[in-house]
Amino acid sequence: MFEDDRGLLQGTLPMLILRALSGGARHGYGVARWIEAATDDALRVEEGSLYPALHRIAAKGWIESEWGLSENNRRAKFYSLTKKGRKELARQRASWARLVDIVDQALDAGEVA
Amino acid sequence: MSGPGDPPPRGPGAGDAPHRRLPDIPGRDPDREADDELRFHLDMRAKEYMARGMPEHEARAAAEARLGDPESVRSDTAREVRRERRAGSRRAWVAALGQDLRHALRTLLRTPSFTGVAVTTLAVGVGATTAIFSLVWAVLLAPLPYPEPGELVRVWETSPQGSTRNVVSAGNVHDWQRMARSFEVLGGYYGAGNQTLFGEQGAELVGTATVEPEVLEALGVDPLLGRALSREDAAEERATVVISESWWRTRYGADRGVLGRTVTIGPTSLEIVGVMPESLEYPSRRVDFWVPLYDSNISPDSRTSHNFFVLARLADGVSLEDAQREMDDLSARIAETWPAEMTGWGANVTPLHRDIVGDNASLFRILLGAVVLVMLIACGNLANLVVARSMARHRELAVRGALGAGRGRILRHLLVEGGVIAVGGAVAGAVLAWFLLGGLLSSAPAGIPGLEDARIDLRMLSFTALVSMGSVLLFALLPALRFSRVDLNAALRSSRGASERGHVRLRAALLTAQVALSVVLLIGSGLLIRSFRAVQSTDLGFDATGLAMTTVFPPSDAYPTGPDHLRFFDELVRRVESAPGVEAVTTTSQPPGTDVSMTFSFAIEGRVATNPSGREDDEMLHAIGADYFSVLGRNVVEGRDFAETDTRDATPVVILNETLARKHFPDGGAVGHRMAFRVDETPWREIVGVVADARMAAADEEPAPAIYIPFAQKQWDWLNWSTLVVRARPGVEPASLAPVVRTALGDLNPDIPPRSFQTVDDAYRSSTAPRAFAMTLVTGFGAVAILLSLVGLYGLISYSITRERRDIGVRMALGADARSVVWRVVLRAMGMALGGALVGVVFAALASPALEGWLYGVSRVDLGTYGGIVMLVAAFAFAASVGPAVRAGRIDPAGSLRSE
Repeated sequence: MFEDDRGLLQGTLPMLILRALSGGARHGYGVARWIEAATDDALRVEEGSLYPALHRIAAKGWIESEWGLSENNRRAKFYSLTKKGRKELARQRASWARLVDIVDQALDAGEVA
Repeated sequence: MSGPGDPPPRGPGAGDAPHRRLPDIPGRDPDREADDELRFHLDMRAKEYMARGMPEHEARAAAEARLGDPESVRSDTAREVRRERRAGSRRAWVAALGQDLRHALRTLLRTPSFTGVAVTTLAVGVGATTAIFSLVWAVLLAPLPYPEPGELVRVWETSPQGSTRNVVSAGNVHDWQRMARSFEVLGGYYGAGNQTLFGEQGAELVGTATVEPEVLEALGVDPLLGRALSREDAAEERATVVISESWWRTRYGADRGVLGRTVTIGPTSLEIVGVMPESLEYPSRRVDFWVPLYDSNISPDSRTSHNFFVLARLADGVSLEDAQREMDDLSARIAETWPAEMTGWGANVTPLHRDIVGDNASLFRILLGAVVLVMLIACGNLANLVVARSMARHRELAVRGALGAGRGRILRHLLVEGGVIAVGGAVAGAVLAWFLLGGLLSSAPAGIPGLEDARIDLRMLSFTALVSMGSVLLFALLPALRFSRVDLNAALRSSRGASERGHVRLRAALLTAQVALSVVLLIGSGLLIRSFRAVQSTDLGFDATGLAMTTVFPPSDAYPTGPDHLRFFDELVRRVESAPGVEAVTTTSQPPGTDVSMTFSFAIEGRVATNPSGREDDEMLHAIGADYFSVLGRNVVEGRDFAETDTRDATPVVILNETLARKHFPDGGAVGHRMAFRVDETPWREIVGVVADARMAAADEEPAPAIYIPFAQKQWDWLNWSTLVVRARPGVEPASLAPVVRTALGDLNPDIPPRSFQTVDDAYRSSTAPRAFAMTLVTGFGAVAILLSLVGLYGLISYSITRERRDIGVRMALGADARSVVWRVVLRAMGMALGGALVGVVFAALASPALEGWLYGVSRVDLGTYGGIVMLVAAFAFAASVGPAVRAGRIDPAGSLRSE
């Protein structure tokens, strides 16, 4: 599923956004660039869904946003992780790891009766 | 910092934090917000592509293509921004609420006396109202546990003498059953009674009811097991019985094989044919056995002996009025057929529920009224407290407003504070209600149907809690409303203003109303106390102290006839008389202090009765032992007392009480005339004496006309019982004679189960128990009410003095002496209290008809009581105001002027 489309697996975008913000505040473009860079451009963020996702996560209280001036003095909206968001990231990472393990195990399994 | 030019750092490095924060623009259009954000994104992306060498317009196009359809992305984003904002404001609201809560708790704990009084006041209001209403619900309002309970009615006869609830003659039961169309089913029964059951545990008394099968049919209760009583049981005189669920469970271990077994009740063995569920508690909860009333008892010709109760279920679509109309017509027809017996008799159809509630309705209405007054006073007190507090905080709120707290914020703060008090009061009230209800149930007079079922009524608890919360919140908001009107600067500059004076007036008005309501309660309580005292000090007409009694039913198989009964009781009296501690023993057919009664019509020799029916009024008959009057200490005022020589074979004799003698022989000279009971005309009985009146039923009932015959000369075998009345020797507690009496009875015949042994004092006391109950509760409520009002008065006076410190100081500086200052304060307090008291007196006079039937020996507008309560309130007002007044008199004029 990854080789021909470089889209994101359903449901992983929020987790990646949280991860992108775990190092400090970023604007939306910064989040998109972080994900591209962190995956060596292997994953390409569907940009049309990035911004709604950011606000959806903000509504849950995992991240908060504020307007500020960017490095080149442009008005931009910056997002940063809340305490709740940090916990959520840890929780999502753990369940992702479990999911991967389970799927791996299934793929590796021989024929079962 | 990662910029568009350099690739962002890998891993969780530092983000691109803004190097300057910009203020939020609250309420900005989400579409524009989304637009700005997306435009920034496109610019950055385009710059990135241009940095890789793309020409600007291509870079822009590529950036846009990558973002996707601009319209839908923007609207999606804007939608999520809206949601985010809503979530954000919710979170902010919750956080602020938490802050307000913490703040409110801190503030309230800083003023523990205010908080304590407010919460206690609320708790008293909520607790008392809930407890009383729970009782009222159980007794007056809860529906009967039968299907379509509204269709159930009782049908009574109405007598020419004006009784509206007369028991019914067999002939009428017979005719009503066959002729009345208004009823789906109608059945007669004997009231619940006690009979002797002979079982493994020896002889014991059990609750029984002898009913026509139609009674159970009307109630509509299906048997749990087996069948209910059937028409054939009654028609063919089968020895059958249905038993209660509780008897089945406790005595038969819920054995389903109980059907077909027999029980021995009285002289007969009865086959158990069914088990009735717990919900059947008719005619009384104490009934465990229902036996068929045989058709042969419902003799169509029997019109003069009134023995039966009647229960019926209205037919579909028939109203109570319809049924009453039909019964009126039917009674007229019956009177045509039986002119001598039935002229002047009618029928009265009453809803079963109203019939059961009966006289208790007025008791519980009084209690409900009293508790509503307490609730109103509690709310008034609370309002007063909260208004006082808000005045004191006027400046604090003004300062907070000046420091930038929005009006909504202040409003919410006040609401939260009020809410904390309200919730605290409601919780405390629920606890109080629970304790109160327990106390009420254990002190309530016995024999009020439905009372056992009283539970805390959750609806009422929530209702009263809501009402009180409403009143707290309403008054909590007053300062905020005022805050909006008041000029900040003025509020900060001075501590007094026109609005503050307005609030004092509001508090004074509230207080006057509270005092007025308290006075209504106090006057009610005063009238009830006077009535109770009057009842207690009433001369019964005989010496009730030292007397105890028990009623004995000799089994009719062992003692079938009159001479047997006589022999039995002679022997029993002889045995008890010789027991230690016993002074004297006699017997009577009417236990003193109870309303058990037996009435007969009679004829006086040589006279034609003036009643339309051609008969004298039915009067009460007592069949007594020969020494009854002397043992009870009643004086024979004319003629002679009964004597041992008035035997069965001697000339039949009779003694009248004064009331009856006056009624029929207004000019005196009753002795020497002859009379006979109309049921059998003979024998003529000679009136040998007239005995002084005595209150034999209850202390607050005027003596009824009464006829006395010697038990030895009774002419009816069915009259087989007597109440043994025992006088204890001086110094012996009459109740302590129970064991010797039981022993004597058991020695004489072990098959007679012991019945309750009661002192005559106790019997009279239980007839006044509802009175005592009403008096205690109304007095308790009155005390709570006046206490609440006085706390309010004290608070208001103290507050006014603080407020007027400067005025008082000025007056004193100008030469007023301390005494005049003290008097001014006291007089103002008493003026307020007396104003309320006078209003209360008017209300009390208007409300006093509610006490109808509860007053005895005192007028409902008794001047002494009304005046006494007004004086009492004046004295209380003096006591509550004298402390603050003395403090006012000590104000140092110089100090008071400096302090502001």
